[in-house]
Amino acid sequence: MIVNNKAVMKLRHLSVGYFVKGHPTPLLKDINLDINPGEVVCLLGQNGVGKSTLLRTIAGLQPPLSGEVLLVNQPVQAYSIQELATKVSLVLTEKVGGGNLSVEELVALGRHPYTNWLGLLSKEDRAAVNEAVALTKINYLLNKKVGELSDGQYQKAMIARAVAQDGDLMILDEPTAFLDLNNSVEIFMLLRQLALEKEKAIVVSTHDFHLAMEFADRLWLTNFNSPLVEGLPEDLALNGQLEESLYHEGFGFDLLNGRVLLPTKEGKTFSLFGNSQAHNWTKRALERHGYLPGDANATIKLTIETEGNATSWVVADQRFLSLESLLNFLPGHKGK
Amino acid sequence: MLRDFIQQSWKQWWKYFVLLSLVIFMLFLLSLALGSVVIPAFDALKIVSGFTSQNEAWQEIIVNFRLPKALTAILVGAALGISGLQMQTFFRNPLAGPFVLGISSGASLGAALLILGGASLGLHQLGGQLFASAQVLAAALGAILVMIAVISVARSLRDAMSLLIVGLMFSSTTGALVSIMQYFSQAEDIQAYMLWSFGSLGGLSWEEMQIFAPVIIIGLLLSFASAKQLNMLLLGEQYARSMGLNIKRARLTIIISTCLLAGSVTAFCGPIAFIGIAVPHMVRMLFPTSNHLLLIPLVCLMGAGTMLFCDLIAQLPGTSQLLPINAVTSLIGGPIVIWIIVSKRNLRYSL
Repeated sequence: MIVNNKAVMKLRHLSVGYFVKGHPTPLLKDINLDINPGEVVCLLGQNGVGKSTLLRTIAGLQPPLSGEVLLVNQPVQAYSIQELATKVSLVLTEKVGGGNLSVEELVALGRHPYTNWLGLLSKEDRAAVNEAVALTKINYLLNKKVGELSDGQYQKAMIARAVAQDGDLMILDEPTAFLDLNNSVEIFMLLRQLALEKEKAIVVSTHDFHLAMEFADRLWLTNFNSPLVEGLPEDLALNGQLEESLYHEGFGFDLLNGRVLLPTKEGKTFSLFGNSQAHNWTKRALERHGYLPGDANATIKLTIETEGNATSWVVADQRFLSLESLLNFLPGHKGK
Repeated sequence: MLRDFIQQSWKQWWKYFVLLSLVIFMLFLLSLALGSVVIPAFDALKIVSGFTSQNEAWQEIIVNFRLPKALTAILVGAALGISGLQMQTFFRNPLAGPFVLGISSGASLGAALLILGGASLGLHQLGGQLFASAQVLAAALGAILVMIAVISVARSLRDAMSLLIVGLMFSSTTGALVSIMQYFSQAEDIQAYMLWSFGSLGGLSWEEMQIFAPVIIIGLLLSFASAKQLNMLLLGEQYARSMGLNIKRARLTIIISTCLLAGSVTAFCGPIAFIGIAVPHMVRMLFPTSNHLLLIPLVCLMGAGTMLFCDLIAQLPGTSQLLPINAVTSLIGGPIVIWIIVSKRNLRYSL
């Protein structure tokens, strides 16, 4: 292995999991990884595979079953809680309390490991809070109460708080789980920006597969009873490990186009004629209903015609003005 | 830094602090003036400031009865309010109060053991004042025992919610023991125990005040020291830990402070319900902040004021009758909590 002196954190032969009735019950075993500054790592895997447990373990909130989590060459467990908080920060999924706190106060809580026993902010603390607010672009929220924030605004405020904590490593456990697509993209863009501009190492678990492919410098793929696989998203896609980690009996994934492939029925094929934008959408609709793209001998020969903004579909000399009416007509559809 | 904070908050909040203090001062004067005998407020003020009055009866009433009682009310209100605030934030539960840890149950067990069990040992022969002191001691011992049990359990528990349940179980168990003792007791002993459980602010002599006041003040100072920890805990234990809070130490500070406050109040004044739950909600309702550095002084003031007010009502001014203080606080506290819950739907988020 190449010696990596840059790494913020090194995991060595790490097993994470729980003690059940005194017996160690590992979820993920023998993990060997480096977490580098300036990189966004996306942790992917199904529910229950141990993503949160892994994140809690590297955040020092839970002891490893075996192996080591090294933060600057010293095990995480060797740090005091307060010292650790200056190096590693955490963002979780759920909204928690503190609804009467202003956003400014919330962000300032991130300075806790640096403030005195009363929690009062020094000039440096104020500066760090202001910088975190500016980086996350939440100035317009400063005087709002936390209870009034939307889910997206709330997560941005929580990230600002983590930034104010000023560690090298940020750990986020499904921060976008409750967010709509726009807000999720904003969060990932923000994380990327923090990695690039502030040289933070960022580990984020997510189920937003496509956002992970788009924004991650590195993926960690987890699966039940198999070792954790890491690498560049595209490398993992090319060598088939991505597909393998996503394998499911009932359906498949079209990774490049970002589509779910549903099981198809025998003998239902279609061919499409006519060039238009409607081509792809028509294909999607037909495939969702179990038709396979076929050649010129396909059971359904469909022509797409466009006139101005209007699209129509012609099959067996009948013309349809919407995909819905077309699908209702096709044989074998919905009980026919 | 502290100077900055005080200056900044003072700018924003001074009106509220001044207003609250004025209200408390008014209530304080009223509680000196009103009672079975009405004493003009100005004379009452003169006597309290150390002038002797020509009316010796007034002098006697104010110095030995109304003044210690008013001071007790202020201390009790602040103490219960603060321990309620601490428990609500700590458990992140709007229904938590000073007694969720089972402290008042411990105190009532102590008191019951003495009042109900003492009869068979002939302790009643002790005579009034001595027996009253023995009651305080017994209640305090009960509270301390429960406190030790809670703290030792808290050390081995992972999360706050389990502690809440353990506290509730302590309460039920001690409640059951008291019931059994009542079942086997004489009518007049049961009545004596009932009287204790009605609560009383007027029972403290100046000697007892010399113990009561310092203990409460220590508890209040501890609560100020826990302000930062409480602020962190608003985000839950996971976030608090990730921001560097030593959960076990925080838990210990908060529990000890609450035990001192709620325990000594119950020992000296009997159980006093609802102030601890209602006052923090009243403060949150009127002052929209979650910062405990502000909440703690505000709750102290609001608690003192509410307690003085309840005591005034319990006096039934102009009559020679007294209402049990515990009933008055429940009568006033219950509707207040309902009103707050109805008018403020996002109660959960405000914690």
